[in-house]
Amino acid sequence: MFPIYSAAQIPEFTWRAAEVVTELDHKPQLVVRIAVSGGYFPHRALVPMMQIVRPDGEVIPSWFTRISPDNHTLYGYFATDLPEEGVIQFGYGDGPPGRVRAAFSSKQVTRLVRDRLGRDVVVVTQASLDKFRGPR
Amino acid sequence: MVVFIINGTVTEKESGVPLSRLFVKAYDKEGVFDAVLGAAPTDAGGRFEIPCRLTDFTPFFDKRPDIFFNVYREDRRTLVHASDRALRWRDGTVPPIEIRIPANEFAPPHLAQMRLTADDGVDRESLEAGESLIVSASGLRPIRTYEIVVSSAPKDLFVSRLLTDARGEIGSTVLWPQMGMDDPQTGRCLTYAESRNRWQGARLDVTLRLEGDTVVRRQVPLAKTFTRPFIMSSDREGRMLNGFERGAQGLHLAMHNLSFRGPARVYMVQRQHDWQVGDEFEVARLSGVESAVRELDVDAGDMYFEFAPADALPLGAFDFVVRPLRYGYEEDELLRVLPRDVLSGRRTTGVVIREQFLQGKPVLGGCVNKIPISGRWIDGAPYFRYADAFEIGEDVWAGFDPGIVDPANVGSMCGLYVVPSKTEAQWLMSNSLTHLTQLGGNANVQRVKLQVGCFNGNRHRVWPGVMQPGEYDIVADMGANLTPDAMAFTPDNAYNTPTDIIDGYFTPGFRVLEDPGVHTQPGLFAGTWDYDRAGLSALGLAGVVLVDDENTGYASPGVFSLVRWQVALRARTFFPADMAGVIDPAQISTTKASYPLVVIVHGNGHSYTSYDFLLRHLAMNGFVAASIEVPSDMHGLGRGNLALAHVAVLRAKFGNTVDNNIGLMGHSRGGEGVVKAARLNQQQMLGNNINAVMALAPTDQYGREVFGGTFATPFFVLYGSRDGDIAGWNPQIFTGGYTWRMTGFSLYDRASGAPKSMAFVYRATHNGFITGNESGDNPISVADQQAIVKAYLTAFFRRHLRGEAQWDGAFTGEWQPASANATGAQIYFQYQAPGGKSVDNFEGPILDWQSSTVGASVSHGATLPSDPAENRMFDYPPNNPGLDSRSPHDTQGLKIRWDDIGQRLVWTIPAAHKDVTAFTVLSLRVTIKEGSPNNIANLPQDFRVSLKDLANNQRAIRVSAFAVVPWPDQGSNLDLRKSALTSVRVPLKAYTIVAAGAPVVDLQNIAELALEFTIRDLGEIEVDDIEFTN
Repeated sequence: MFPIYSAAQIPEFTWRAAEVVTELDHKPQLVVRIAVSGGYFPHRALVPMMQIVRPDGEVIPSWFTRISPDNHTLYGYFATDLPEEGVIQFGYGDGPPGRVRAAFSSKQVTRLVRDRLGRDVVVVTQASLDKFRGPR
Repeated sequence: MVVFIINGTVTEKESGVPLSRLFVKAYDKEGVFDAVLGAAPTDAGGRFEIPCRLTDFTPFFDKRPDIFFNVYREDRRTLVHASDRALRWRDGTVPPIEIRIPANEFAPPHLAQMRLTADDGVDRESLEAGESLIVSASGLRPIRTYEIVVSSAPKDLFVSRLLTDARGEIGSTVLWPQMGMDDPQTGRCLTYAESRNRWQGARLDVTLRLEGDTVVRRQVPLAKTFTRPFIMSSDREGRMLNGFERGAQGLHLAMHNLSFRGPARVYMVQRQHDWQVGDEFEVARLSGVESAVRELDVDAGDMYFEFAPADALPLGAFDFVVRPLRYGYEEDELLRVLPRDVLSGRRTTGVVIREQFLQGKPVLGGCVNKIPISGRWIDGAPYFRYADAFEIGEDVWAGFDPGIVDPANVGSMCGLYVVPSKTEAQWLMSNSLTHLTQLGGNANVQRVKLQVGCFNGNRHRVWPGVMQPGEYDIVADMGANLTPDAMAFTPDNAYNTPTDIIDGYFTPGFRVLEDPGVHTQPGLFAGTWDYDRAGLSALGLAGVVLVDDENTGYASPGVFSLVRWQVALRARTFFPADMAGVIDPAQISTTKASYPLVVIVHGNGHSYTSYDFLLRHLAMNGFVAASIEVPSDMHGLGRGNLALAHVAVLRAKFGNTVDNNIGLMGHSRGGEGVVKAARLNQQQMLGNNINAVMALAPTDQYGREVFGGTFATPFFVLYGSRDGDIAGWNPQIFTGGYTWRMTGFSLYDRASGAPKSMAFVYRATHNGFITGNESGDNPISVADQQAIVKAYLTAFFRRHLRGEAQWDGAFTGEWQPASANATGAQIYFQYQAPGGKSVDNFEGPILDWQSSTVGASVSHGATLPSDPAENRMFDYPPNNPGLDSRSPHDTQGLKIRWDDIGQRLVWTIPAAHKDVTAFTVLSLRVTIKEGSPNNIANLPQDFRVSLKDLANNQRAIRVSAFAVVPWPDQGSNLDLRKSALTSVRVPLKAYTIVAAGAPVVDLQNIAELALEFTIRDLGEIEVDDIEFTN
């Protein structure tokens, strides 16, 4: 038995993004957190994932992705230098991804004031992630 | 190999108190056989059973060796006692042995230990003012009341008397909450500066005494300089003030010794009884809407500010979390305790904002301090939970919430009694208190002080390891005069109004009985028998049956096309057995000649194999229980007919070992199907005695079934508020002419003619009761839902198939089975028994709120802001307008709104109905109107129900003393939130029992019944079924 949705209640996913400081490797790291909400994200055996697909087809994967405690929001953590535009996709492992209808635009990312950040905060960039991950 | 059992008990010699968690070893002293014959631990009753395994039994009895016993502590190494005489033989058998251990062996003085810590539970060299002084002790005598004297030379500050448990221990107990912020002798509160002056560098002496003799003495140095961060609610002068009445003043916070500077956030959060890093917290609301969060810049170690003005503060108990903010850190946004946070206290309540105390009494104007007290200590948040039912062997705790204790009593000494529950006549005859003899009688009553603003300081174990089933009250006897001075305090062994506090009086405070979700019949195992078409054919029974069914769902009775299914029968059966592994019904237990039968019918898309945990539990409780397979997409009629076909098979196979005493449980479509089965059984004259029907998250989509009349059977509905399948959608999204939200509520509403009950479980789902949660809307765990269904299903069938009346209170909502209560789930009940005298059920074609069912007038005397509205409860315009679009009910009711204290609605009782002495309860169903702005968010609704007799004697009883009218569950989908009626059952003796200051109402001459809105200053509710009943 599964939930019954009327046509008006099929989930509509939305996104919002902001820079946040999060602690990883015992260091404060400045990243962009993209929050996708509008559906239910269960915890599954496969790891959750989020990525931005640029207009030219290049895929920018998140550094990591988390599910909110209430299962209603998926958080993707990205380098701060995101593509100007693209499509946000999300899902689990290598399963077929869902997408957010509203296009991603880096102009809508809420940025933190650099001067107010602590001196020990590491600004995460795509280059540093590539270096960390190795060649894609 | 031969096995024989040596059994016995271990008790303390002087008192006879059973000693648990010891380890008993049996020895053959002569060495004829193995030196150690066997060993076993003692249970809560001090009992042990030692299985002795011998390769040759004969020489054992021929030689009759001397058997001795050694008793060890839980570590199995430390010897407590060695028996000095051998087991005596009697006619070649081994009689039970009683090992009686002298007190000085079980608890020798050198083993007595006492530990004193602060909130963090860590041993430190010194403590500081504002921390709580916490005591624990071990190596003491079991079930004894010890005195703990706290002194600051040369004076004794205060004395507490605490009860040890069956192991001779006193668990971690708050002795002095927020130590040093008040003067224990006068109760006067201090500012932090005053406390520094008085206590810095001081020393406390703590002495543990038994019957006047010192057992242990410890010293507690206070730091020379106080440096620990400390946050407290205070008055305008900065003196500790962690409790006040709403509206009396604003909320001020004093913060001291803050070790950080810069931006910070202060959260006012719902109180817990303990806090650990990682615990989630719920932020309170100011003025019902605004999050209770303040941001400030910390520029000094000591700060003082007004957190919120008086008119914005909510009722309740709250703690404070102060969080230093780091720019941009996402972790700082989390609503859970972080390691850097500073809390107002781990175990002390930050502030209690209470309603005006006199408004809170159950009898308006009557001096009965009845509050919930009994409860259990739990692991994890919120760490303490009130409870009214306890299983044998559990510990019963008393918790006095400073938010509801009479302010005049706070700070005073009291004696804690556990007494057998009394009837009204017994109370009238004598108000004396007799503390249970197994707890030492009146001479050993615990003496404690009702602490200021601290729940944990008011939490005491009052009955360790309960052994005696029954109904009990807990009384806090304030003695002859209120005093904070332990030396001057003497309990008077009587329950006196207005000062003494009671949990009970009108109804039992708590009861001790089996937990139906856990208890199984001793010695019973569960045998299994799976059958299918082939197996039945081999037995000469029909393995395939033809079953009539509907073709689809339909709104109007009878408007469907008949479909005939050919079904191969298949089911799984569990039955009582005398040993494990039994698979043939012929091997059914011989404990009884025959057993009742329960048949479970699953829902669509479910599997009949998912119910094993219920079947096994039923079998081990003495039922034959089967779960039948139903083809996919079969509807309600088919499920009902198929259930009856299986009943015939089971009765044929089990023969005389199964009673014609049958219970049915159906899930989802099966829930509606079993209701139809009860009807079909009568209509088809099948001769089955179906005596109980339970519907788990049932559909209500096959012809508006009415369960009543000649088919009436005791009925129980269990349904979850986050059901993602039978969610109770507005019927407009379906076709077929439905005009009600099709859930268990409507099925329940239409049932009549037999006792009916419905449990609405907040945040439970459709499938979570059995397999997994289909809804992602923050449901409670499957384990919790399974515990709930197991407890209530077992109690329901034990009640109606075995006639065990002790379960009745579980279905009226009076109490919860221990295993259901332990889940912490919010469970709300509706209950109705036939034979009541209806005052108003609001039924009938004439929708006139001013006339009642009992045949007289209804009036609000121009007090309400608008006239009440009488109509069908579900508003479904345009053809079926009603009261409330969020109502899940299929009945008529009354909607009432009030906007000021003192407004009321009065039902006149005609002379022909003035005598209500044949009844014991005044009952009504009530709900907060979901979505109405006229109720206070997240707060249960409350009002009083008054009765007035012909001589104008009147009493008004507060409904929250007997039931909760809950805030509707706030699932994420607004359309699925429900205005769900809950039964409020006020015992009629509340109108007649002694309550100083309140007149006694003559129940033979009732003239008026009224709803008195004297507690909340606004509200909008719906009511139904106002009646006198039992």
